[in-house]
Amino acid sequence: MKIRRRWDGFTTASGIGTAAMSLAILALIGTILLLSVNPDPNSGLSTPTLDNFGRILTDPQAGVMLGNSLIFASVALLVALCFGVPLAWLVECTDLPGKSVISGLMLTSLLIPSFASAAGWLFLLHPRIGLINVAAKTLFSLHDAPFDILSLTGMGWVEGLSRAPIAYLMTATAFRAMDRSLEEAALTAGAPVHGVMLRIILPLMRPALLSCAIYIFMIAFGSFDVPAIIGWGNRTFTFSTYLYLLTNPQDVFPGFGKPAALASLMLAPALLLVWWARRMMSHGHRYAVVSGKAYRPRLIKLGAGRLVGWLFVGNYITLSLVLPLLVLVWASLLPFLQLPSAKAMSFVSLNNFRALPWDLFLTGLQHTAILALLTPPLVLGFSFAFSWIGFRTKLPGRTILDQIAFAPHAIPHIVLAMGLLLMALYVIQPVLPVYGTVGLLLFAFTIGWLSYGTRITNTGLLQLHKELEEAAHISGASTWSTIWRVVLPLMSRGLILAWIYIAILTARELTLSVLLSTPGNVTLPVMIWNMWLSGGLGKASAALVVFLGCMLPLMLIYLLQSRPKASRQKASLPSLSPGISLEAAG
Amino acid sequence: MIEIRNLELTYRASHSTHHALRGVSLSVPRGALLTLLGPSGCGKTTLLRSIAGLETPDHGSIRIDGETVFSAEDGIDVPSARRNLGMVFQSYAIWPHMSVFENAAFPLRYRSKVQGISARGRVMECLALVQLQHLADRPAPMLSGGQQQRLALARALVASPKVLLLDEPLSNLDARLREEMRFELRRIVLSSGVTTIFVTHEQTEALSMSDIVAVMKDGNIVQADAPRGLYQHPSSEFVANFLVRSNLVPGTVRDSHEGQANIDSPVGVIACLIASPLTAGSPVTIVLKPESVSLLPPAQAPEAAVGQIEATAFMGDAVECAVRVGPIVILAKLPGDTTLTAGDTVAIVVAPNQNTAFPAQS
Repeated sequence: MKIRRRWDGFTTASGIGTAAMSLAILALIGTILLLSVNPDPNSGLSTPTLDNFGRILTDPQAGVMLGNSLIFASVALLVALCFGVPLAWLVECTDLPGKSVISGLMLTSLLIPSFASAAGWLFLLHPRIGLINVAAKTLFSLHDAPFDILSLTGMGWVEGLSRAPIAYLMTATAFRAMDRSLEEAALTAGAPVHGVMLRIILPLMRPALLSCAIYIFMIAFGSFDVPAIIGWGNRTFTFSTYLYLLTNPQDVFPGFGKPAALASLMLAPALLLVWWARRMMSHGHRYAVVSGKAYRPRLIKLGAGRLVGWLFVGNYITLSLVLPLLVLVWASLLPFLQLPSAKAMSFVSLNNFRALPWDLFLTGLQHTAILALLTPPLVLGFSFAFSWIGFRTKLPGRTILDQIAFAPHAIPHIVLAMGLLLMALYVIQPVLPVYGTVGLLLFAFTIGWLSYGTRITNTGLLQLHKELEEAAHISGASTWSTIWRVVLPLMSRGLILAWIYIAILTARELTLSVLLSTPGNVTLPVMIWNMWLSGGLGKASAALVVFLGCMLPLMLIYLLQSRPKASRQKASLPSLSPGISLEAAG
Repeated sequence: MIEIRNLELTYRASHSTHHALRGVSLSVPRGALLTLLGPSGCGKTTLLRSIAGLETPDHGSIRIDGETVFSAEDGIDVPSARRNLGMVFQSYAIWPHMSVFENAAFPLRYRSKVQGISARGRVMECLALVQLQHLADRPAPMLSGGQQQRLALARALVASPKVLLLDEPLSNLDARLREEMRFELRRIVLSSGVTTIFVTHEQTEALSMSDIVAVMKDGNIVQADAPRGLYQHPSSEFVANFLVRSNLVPGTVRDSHEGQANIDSPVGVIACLIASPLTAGSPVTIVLKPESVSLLPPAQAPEAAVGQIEATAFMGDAVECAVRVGPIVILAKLPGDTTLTAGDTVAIVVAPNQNTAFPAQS
């Protein structure tokens, strides 16, 4: 009996799935590049020209936008690092009490959509109506408002506050992974504490800090939510909002050549930066080795400094969560924004909520719910297939597949959305009318979180000793049975967390859906943004509050699931933080 | 019965190739326990994994009980799942999300027609064989290292495989437990009567447990024999020195008869065994076992070579002495009650026909 070994069913399916997905991603990038060299795609393909690039480079508005984005992203980076890194140090390296509460709160502020906190901060620091400005003007009899949230610094502040959890998670992972005996060796060699910090800890942390800085800068550079909520009305454009404006101009018929050229210009540096950061991280891990020994690292005794530590934590939580959310609720109860007072109390009512377009709202909720239900399994399914091909086969070109799966991480979501829009309109639409369907959004989200998903499944598979699978094979189990009975159960904790996290990201995503949105597939965040733009701030606040209420159960489940468990499973399971930190939030 | 013919496997990385197996041929009689012994990197684990179907050789064939499970030339490669094997991995590969019972029962789900109550009986029988029946309901991670090892063995045996493969199963245990498990493992394997291949780099494990020991070096089997034969008649300097950490003493053949020769050496004339005929006057290397050397007061052995003890190490049951004789230092292993100390002058007497001499390698 001759039996030639062939690919088993699962590996074949994975191979086909990953190949198809990779082609889709490449096609998406290809579409953008193709349209960027076409002066008028509406009249068919013509000989490639660089006209669009010329138009972008000579556009004065584009220059202003670039300057804006750089300042905005730099401020955001600074704010995020100033809060995130000390918080990570406090939790990982000191004896500050209440650490699980802190990490829970940090996760919460990671999960809160940044358009919600942006709206809150607008209500606090708007030069005319901002409550803090109004209060300061009355108290100190000032003529001008002391704060201006509409400025680039103001927007950067809000963006930085909502990105601080990413800085926190990435540096906490690095602090945790650092072999503390290196530090102790320096101490016993006679180095003073600040010498240890300067000569040992910082050099060891440098790769992690640098790559973290690159990620946050890129995320902020491509961020849409905050500039859309705060900057749009003021016509202060950053990269994403400007690209949106070009794709969706209010005065002329949309021409896709110019935005495509702008997007192409962004692609190369973005891919390069991410590739560099990734390389640095892998180098970093090479010497920041996780030691397998389960000894408790020496914690720095804070003493009276605990109070300062908690004040710092409390300060961050107040700024990132409590203040903006409270003011949002307050605004949703009032016909117009005013400082709390007896008179203001008399205006408090649920009128804004009653006035919400509930039919439309429920339609949006329905679409969002469908997406939040279907996106996680799709993302994780594809991610697992990518990881399987990458780590469990010897397929030539498997490392390229992993790079392709990671590419969406480098691409700002607005560019991704534009690529899909162009692809849907010019490539797929004649064959399959996908434009304006929830399916198109589902596809967009699947690509959007694929890089995050593959980080989770890669770590999961890497941490599984290969012999655990081989033992199942030897026992007679097929690849399907091995995955079902051994691999997935052992990866389950990481997968469940990733599942909920992707569901939350999907539910709150504005950037990916805003360009692809039509009345036929409008999601809740897009609907809220439209309400915000049309001027009814009170009504929009009410919608935001309802939206956050809908998200609450998901967030609670996530927080409960992510608590460290005294697991009976000794085999280490994928931790969530490195995965989350690589997430490119919109 | 396992027959392996001319197995070759080369690992190719982008800038290097490693010949893990260079034409290995081997046959293991049904029910025998064969040990693959060799230093790390000699290809022993690769050979085991090839038999298991976890590696795919470039050339050669493997037959198990007359059925060809692998043949590069005929394009046959039966997947691991259908080779009907049991395997104990170096890491044990106990699934941490299952109980002891579930771990042991897993192969029956796929391998055996036995289901339900009789399957339960078979699992408990195997757990009893490794003395884990009282822990059947315990979560697998709550076992000690030795218990995990025994569970891995029960899981490997539960579906009555044709062949049992053991990949350095004792290497993760501490010294005392390892000694206990050596006997335990042999008892269990013998009582189940399954053909077994055992991989180790420990000479004592190989000698004490096996019916046949195959010594491997650089992707080849250099000698395969019963433990006693291997110990007494090593076919090469490598095998002799790998089995027992020995002294390599240069010498010249004085005269030789069949299988035996008298060798002139710095330690005097030594009667040695030889693996191949040697002509008088040819240079040789004697692989001199430390336990074949005894040290006497010079007066008791006036004809023997005389040396001076440089250092001694007390090991409890034995004393190891480093003795300088002219240009070389000889290691001798003496009974534990020896009272010699560094600086003593001693006569060196080597027991006849316990060591083997090989042609000197130029």
